[in-house]
Amino acid sequence: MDILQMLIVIAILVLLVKPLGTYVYHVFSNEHNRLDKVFGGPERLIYKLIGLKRREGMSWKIYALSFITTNIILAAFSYLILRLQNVLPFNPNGMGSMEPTLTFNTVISFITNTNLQHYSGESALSYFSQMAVIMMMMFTSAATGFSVAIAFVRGITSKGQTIGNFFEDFVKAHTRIFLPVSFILMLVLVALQVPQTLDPTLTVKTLEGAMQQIAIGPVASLESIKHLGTNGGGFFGVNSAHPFENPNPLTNVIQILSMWALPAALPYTFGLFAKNKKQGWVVFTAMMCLFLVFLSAAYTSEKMGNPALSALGIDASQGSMEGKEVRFGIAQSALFTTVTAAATTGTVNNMHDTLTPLGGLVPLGEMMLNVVFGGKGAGLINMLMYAILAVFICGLMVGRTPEFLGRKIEPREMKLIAVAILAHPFIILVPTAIAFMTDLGHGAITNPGYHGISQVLYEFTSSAANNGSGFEGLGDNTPFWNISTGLVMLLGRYISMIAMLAVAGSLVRKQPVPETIGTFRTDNGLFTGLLIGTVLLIGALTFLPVIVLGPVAEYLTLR
Amino acid sequence: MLDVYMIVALLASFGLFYGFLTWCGSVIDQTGES
Repeated sequence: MDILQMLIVIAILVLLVKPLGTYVYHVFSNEHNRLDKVFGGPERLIYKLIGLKRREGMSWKIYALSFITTNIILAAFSYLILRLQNVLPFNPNGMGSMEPTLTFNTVISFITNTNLQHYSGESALSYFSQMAVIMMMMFTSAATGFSVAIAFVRGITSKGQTIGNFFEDFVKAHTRIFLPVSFILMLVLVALQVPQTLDPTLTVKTLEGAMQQIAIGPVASLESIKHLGTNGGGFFGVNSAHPFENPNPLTNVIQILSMWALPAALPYTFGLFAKNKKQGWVVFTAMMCLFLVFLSAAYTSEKMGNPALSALGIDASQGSMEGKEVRFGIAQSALFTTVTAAATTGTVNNMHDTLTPLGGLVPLGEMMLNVVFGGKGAGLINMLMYAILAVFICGLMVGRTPEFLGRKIEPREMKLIAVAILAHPFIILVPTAIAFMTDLGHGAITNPGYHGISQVLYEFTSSAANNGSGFEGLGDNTPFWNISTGLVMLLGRYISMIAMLAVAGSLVRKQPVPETIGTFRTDNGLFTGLLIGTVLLIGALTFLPVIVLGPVAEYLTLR
Repeated sequence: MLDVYMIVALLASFGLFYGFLTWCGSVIDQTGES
């Protein structure tokens, strides 16, 4: 039954890929289509308001400058609101202003689509902050990632000097995807008992006669965009484990699909842009193969339970239920964990810190690879980065100039791809080492031994991958952790985006090379295997030593 | 005062990305079409 329910969710996802991928293609192809009749009017009004008269294509540099500058302005605006929330409206529970280093961390966390939370929303944020900062940035960070991914795809599949107009892409991502779909999702969640109110926290009398406070608020609207935008986090500190965020198995499946569908559909969109659907399916298949390996590992590990508890004579027939919700069980928890780490959403429906050692290695490994579907746009960009690397390596082996989609891959593109690939382990492993060497860092570890290594490693890996989940036993709301993870989140987000836009800007100017009988094909099963092999060789081997020190060593001590 | 440090750190980080963008541009333009 467990396996059947996981297979049903995966089957629904696969059925969604083609229609969703086609829809996204029509949104961003900039060809006139039926969608213009519905969304054209509101969009023209927005363009007028922001002074966008001519929607001319931008060079990669102008595109990158536009999205970075937009993000700076949004970050500064959000910083002010969080610091002044005590004097702003919609604060019925009387929340004080947020501490400066925590504000620094929170603003970066949400502008980078990470949504790492070193606080609990119900006890730290006013309703105004939840809506004007948290939800606003859930929309804008997702739209930014989506726009950059589409611009990158345009760059490697078209010919010219430009890769689109950032502001047009940014507006369209909101008006045609995130706003309408999240509104529908919100209504569905409200119908399934998720609260949506501006009433203050309830104070009720329990059956034992004690007084208890029950936090409520505009939960459903935040839930819908937090998943759709692969943002993560949640209205409540325990995210989707909270019964008001995720009341039953049906809402659990809806949340899984809403965070997984768009990242899974993007490879198909890429295939349509490349005018070769098989090219898109190659990327999708590589992602799905990696995903299924991770899901199998998570489910098996959690189902087998904790050997230490079994040794005490405790019935482990249900599997390792520590930190999990009974209403979801092992299958729905393992699937949610694997999807939330794959799509770099980072919201949780079970506590990742209490996963078995190999179960905890699953989200950790997915974030280290950062290509298993990935967040809004980032996963596709990273996987295509590995595809170009695979082509380059194959070209070296057979002594031919590497080509990808008819463009020659030269040293300058490889230099930028190498920087983007190496930046990821660098911004994980160096801060992890610094944390171990300083009292400020290892003072936060609550689990001595190997699990403590995993806690620190997970925090920086989650920050670098812009995921946002955590091994929450770590005492991370301190200036050291707020500032260090804040900087890692920034580097994890913008280095690869800028470098890959530069690669797109370089490739878009190149004259396509005619295909010959000697051209290395990148749209078949052989290349799918090579792509997976490249990801595992480069990505996994980089992190192998630290994985052995953390989760693997912990697993061996439990046996 | 801590607010000033945090805002400066935030702006300096984005300044770093402008620098990185410029460096990427110089890499791409090193040898001109191919």
